Amino acid sequence: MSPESSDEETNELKTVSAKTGDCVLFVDGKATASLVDPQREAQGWLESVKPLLPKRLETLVVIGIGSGFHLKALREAAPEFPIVALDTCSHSVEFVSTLGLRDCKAVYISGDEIAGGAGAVLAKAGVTDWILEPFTLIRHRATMARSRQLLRVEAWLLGRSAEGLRAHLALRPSLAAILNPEKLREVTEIKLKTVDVFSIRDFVACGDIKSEPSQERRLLRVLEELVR
Amino acid sequence: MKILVVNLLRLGDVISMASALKAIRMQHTQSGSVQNGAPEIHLLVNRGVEAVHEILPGIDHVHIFERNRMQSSLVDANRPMFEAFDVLERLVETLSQEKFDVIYNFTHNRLSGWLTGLIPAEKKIGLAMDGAGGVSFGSSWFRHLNQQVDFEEEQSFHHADIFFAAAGGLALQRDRRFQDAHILDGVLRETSAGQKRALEILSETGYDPTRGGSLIAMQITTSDSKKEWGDAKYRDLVLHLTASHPGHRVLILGAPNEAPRIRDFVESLEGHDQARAQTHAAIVSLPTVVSLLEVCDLVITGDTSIKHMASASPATVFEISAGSADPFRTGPWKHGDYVIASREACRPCGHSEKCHREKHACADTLPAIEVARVIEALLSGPQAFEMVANRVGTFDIYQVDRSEGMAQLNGVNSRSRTEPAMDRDVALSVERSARRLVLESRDGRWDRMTMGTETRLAFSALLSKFPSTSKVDLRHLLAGGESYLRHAEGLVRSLRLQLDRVKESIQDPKRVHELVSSVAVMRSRLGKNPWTMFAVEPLMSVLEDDRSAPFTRYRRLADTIADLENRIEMALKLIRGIDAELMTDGSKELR
Repeated sequence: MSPESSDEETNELKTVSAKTGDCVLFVDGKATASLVDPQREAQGWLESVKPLLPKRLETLVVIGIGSGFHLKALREAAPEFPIVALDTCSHSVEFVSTLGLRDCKAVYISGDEIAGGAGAVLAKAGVTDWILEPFTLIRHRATMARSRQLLRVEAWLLGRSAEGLRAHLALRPSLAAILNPEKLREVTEIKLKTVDVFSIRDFVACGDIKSEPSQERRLLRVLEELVR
Repeated sequence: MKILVVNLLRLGDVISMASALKAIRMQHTQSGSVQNGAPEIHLLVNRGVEAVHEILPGIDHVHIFERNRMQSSLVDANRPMFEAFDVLERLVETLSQEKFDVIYNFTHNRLSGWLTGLIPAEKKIGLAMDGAGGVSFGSSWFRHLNQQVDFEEEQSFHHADIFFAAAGGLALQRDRRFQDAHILDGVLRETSAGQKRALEILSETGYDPTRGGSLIAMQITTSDSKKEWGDAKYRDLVLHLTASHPGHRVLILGAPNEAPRIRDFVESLEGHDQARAQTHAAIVSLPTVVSLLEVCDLVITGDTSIKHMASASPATVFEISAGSADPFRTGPWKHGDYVIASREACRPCGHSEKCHREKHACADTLPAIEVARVIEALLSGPQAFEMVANRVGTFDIYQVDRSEGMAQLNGVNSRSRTEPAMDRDVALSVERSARRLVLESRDGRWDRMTMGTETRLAFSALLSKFPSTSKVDLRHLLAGGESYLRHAEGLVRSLRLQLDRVKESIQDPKRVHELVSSVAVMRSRLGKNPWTMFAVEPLMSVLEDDRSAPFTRYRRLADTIADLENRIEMALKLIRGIDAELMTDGSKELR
């Protein structure tokens, strides 16, 4: 069994009532929310992520669905933002779909899609429509802690790992075109052995100075100035 | 006409371009037909500064540059790698779709240069960088702003005036049709909500102008600890001022995020009943500040956005300048405003430099009691002020003079005020006037039809700067200057001839070497005299550039020589004109 498959979902599913009477999902024998007061727990989570809410209208991408209480809380706190919630547990995705949260789309990422790598996940329906736009990534740590698969998805969405970066660049051909493949290989294959993530400086360093000045190159110049 | 104005700096910097904005509005309204009406002006500013549109008249739309978000996403491994890229790309897309006719970039840094280069527009004024990093300025004034970094303080033009000039403001000022428009008045807008709140605050203070005393606003906080004078000194100042007149009322201004500090400050006056009764915390929004400043007599502040707002109001500004505050380039700009500054050699320091001194020397050498005496004298009237200010020997006091249409800081207690002017002083003053006219001329906004008026303005500026210098002495100094400049004219002409001879053989290293040697000799000779010192920097930049291709170097030298010819010619014209004014003017008796 590969390490990734250790948290593959099984068919073990049940729902139990929390002390408050709220319905909590049990997956693989583990509760996906507090059995005492899931709504209060969700409010606590909401307070911790409120500073992340953007000033402009854009998609809020929540990793980890669990029993969906936090999504409900987020929906109420930020009614104008579209929400996309991702999970590798199909039961959670189905469960949250029954909550009828307005403008909140739950996306299931299957084991097969994860096995297909970052490219398959980023190109998937429900992801492609926001991945190329500014979005705000919000983590539901409690759910993520139970799924190593979700941690991989998070890394791919961030695009700061070699695989994630390649997948993002595949979706952005004009940006990929201004990069020097040799330099990019050097950075992705050598640098990532000593550091965990890419920064914009690594990325700008991969720019091919011989290529024609393009819109993408000039955008990178602006970003470079922001971290000078 | 659709215009984008870019300013990606802080609130004070955005407010300091208010006069330029007015010039833009007037200029484009003037050039547009009646059907076109007023221009549609969009503003691009950093997130957090957008509220400024409430006080800037004529802004139709505000676009936000998400600087903090982009910066933090670029350095935070937990944020998507392309978040900043996507945010920026969306902004550029939005701005590109607007199809602007003109973009004014009042930021003048590489970030804004690249960004301005990315947004299509028929005309771009201010720094714009194309895809290959090529730079355009769109106005001689912005090119000059780039060079002015190396200038001495007193040679520099105020940044607000450079923006104003680049936006055509000086030309509008000259234009008779707008003489009644008082172009520097009303550059900020009052709102009814701001007026209402200002009235409430005033009534809380119990200020009654009929009982005498002044309404004084004080901004004790700044955005940078280096620029602070210190709460303890401000407290001493308040105690002194309130004790001097029971009718004075002091408003301690602050934004909502500064409220705790402002309240602590006011509470620190407990035990001093008179001071406490006369001092009031005023936690206010930008529109309220604009309305309050309309009725204040004096605004005492560090280098803050309030200073720039006060410069656009009838209130006299008194800036206590410390740290990186550079009053010559970014100080108050209204005629009659004041600045005090320490004589510490390290002032002004760089914005991002840490203070290397054991003590905050530039603030500590401005003692509260002495500053209070100066301000008290200022409130008493010009004669009392002059008497007190002249006795101050530990720090500099400057007053803004706009006789020539641009802000210039004249020393109130400096040697030039009390003693006859020296060669260098007069040379710098004439050079500044000549430079202004050459820059305007290069932008196609000035022709020699108004040389007489300009001479008269330069003459007035000279008189207000050197009140203790007799006409005879001034004429003597100008005669010396004319002689040096004519000598320089000859040198530059000979270099021009040499340049023409080399034209056909610029690839010949020997000929180019000879030419460069001549430039070096000329630089050395012109650098020895204050009247011709201005030629040193441009010539040095050509000399030091030994990496450019011969043709590029030749072009740069040709441009430099043309520039020097213009500036020398203009300075000579001014000298002759001022000399004629001195001969005929009776306002200043011979001593």
